Amino acid sequence: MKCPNEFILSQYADGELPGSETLELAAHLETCRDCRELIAGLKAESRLLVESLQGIDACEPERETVRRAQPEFSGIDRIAVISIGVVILFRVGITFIENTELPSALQWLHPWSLQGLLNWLVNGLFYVIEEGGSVMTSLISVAGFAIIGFLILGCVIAMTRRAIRTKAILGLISLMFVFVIPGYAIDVRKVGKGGDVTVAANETVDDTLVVFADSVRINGTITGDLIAFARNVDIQGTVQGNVIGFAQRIEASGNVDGDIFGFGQSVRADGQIGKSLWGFGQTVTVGRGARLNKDATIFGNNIYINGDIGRDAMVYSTTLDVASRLGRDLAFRGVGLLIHAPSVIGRNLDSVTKSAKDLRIDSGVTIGGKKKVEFAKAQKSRYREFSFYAGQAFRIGAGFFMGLLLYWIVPGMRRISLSTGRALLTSGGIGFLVAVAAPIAAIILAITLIGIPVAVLVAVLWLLGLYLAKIVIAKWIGSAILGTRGNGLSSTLLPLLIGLVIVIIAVNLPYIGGILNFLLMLIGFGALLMTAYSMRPAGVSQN
Amino acid sequence: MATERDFEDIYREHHRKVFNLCAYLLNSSIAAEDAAHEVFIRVQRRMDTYDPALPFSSWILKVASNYCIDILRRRGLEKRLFGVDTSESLDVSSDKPGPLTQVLTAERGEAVRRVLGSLPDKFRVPIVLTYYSEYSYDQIAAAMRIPRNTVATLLFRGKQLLREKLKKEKHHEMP
Repeated sequence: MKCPNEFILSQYADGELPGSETLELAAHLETCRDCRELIAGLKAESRLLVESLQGIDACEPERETVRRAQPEFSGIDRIAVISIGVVILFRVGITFIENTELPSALQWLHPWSLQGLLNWLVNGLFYVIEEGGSVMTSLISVAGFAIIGFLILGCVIAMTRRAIRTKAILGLISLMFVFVIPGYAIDVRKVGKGGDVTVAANETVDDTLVVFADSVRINGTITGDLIAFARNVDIQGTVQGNVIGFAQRIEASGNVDGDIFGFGQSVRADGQIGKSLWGFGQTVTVGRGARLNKDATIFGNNIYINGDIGRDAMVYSTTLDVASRLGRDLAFRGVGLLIHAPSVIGRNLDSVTKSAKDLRIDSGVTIGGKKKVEFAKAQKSRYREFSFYAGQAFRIGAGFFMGLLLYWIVPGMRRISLSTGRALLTSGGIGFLVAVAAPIAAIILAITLIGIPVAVLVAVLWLLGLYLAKIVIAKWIGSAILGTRGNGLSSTLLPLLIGLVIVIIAVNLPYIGGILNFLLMLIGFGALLMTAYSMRPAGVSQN
Repeated sequence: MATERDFEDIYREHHRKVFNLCAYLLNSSIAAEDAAHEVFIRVQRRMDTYDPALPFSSWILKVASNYCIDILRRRGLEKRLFGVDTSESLDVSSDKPGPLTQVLTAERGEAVRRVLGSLPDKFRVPIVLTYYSEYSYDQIAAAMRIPRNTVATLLFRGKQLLREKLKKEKHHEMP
């Protein structure tokens, strides 16, 4: 008899070969040493497999994580590479778009137009300020705090030395690099600490100038934009493009043909400005010699408008002092407004001040249009109002309902566990990454027009995820406190409710509530994503 | 009808084994916890269908494997989850690695489990049922609702894949 193939031998070794064939094979084995050895090997292999599979305790958490970690996260590389690749492709595509002219009304949609970026920023800030109901005294410090916070979080996450986290951070950084404003003819001047950059009176810089220095002095002419990061920025010459300055003190007494975007402790415009002034600072002054052709939009603490503004002035600040001529409207939101005679407001005045005595309009002031003056209601502590508690109770109720719905639809979500510091950091990091990346992706998709349905879907999922994030965290906190290990629906109810109450109290704490809210949201979001990722059908990725 | 007390004992005694089986079959510890939970609910509900002539642990593992296979089947939906692809010929050529003992020593059971997790469902399930639950081909065929011959083929192909992957892994570690 010819030696049977391994498939037959394998069945024989398993004792699963039909009776007649078994006899035949047994006879062959008597004479064939090779086949005997192969069968012995196959039997040994079976024993080994039995030992390997039965001889472990899959419940052991340590082993479990090691065993699971590999397959669960290997896909992330691919996702990261693909998303960065897609983004780069978009970036290349957008370069083409850049060469085509958008109608000026749609210009703000353009992702790389600075005006577009600032529109987003300004709209966002308006929202924050109106919602917050209080005047921001130092916007810069808040923004700085947030950025530093993210950087520290990033470093901590990267330092935990898990490849996945490093990749997440690196991925984010690569995304940022991909998104930087394109560098057309740019002159970059960098000077070490204590250094000054001066464009002399007879000097002309024939393109955009980017400067990093301690002090920047422009006495000559710049034909492009001036982008300056410095302690002091002093413009006495001419900038034919825009001025974007991040500095402690920005002073523009020369001519700027474009817009001025000034972020600094003190921002002062004292010359001709071809377009508008966007000022963010502790003190923002439109000096006596200033002449703005368009608008002034200013956020800050103490604002002075003494020069002329061609169109509107919109000011969000603690105090505003006006002694000027405005072509159109003046809008003010803040504590105190003082308008000196003989100021002229071409059209309407719209002001909200703290009280009647915080508003002073001299008798010689001319207001061309309507005068709308409002006073902020005395701010009662929200904690004293019944509606606040009713609102929070409703929030808990809604969260509870949504939580039950979530756990009913996706029972696996009950398993979220963040018992280690590592898990918390990972969740926070991933949560932050996706929370930032998803809206960017949605915006890019929306710009392509074809991608709008997907963009809407991404945005909806993003919002839903952020909403569910705190519910997931609440359930986890509740379970941790009650120590419940069961996973039935009934063992979800109480932990969820208790957790929600704790979370809602925490996010409403004065001062730290906002930060807690933010952190809980990120961690919950990350945990949600990771659990959703680990629950993906195993067969799909492997087949 | 089992009392609450009895059921707690059953849970304590069998949970680990049921959980391990679910984890192998579903290839996810998170999904396995849910599945194990569901299995015990089913066991409690169907206690009257248990035939005392058989060991209780076999019965409970049977409930577990049936439940997990159902889950896998539902995941696969229209795909012929456990069928043999016609494109997949039974390769018994000699250049394939031989039985695992040649590439593996007992202390590398960890590697076996890891590689097992990377096998497609249709190969992983028969291997788990054979070597963890110690099912016969017929029992596997019944559980997976496929012909006995297919079981033999899947098992054979699955083991071949396992060997190949382990061999590759070993080469990576020790070039």
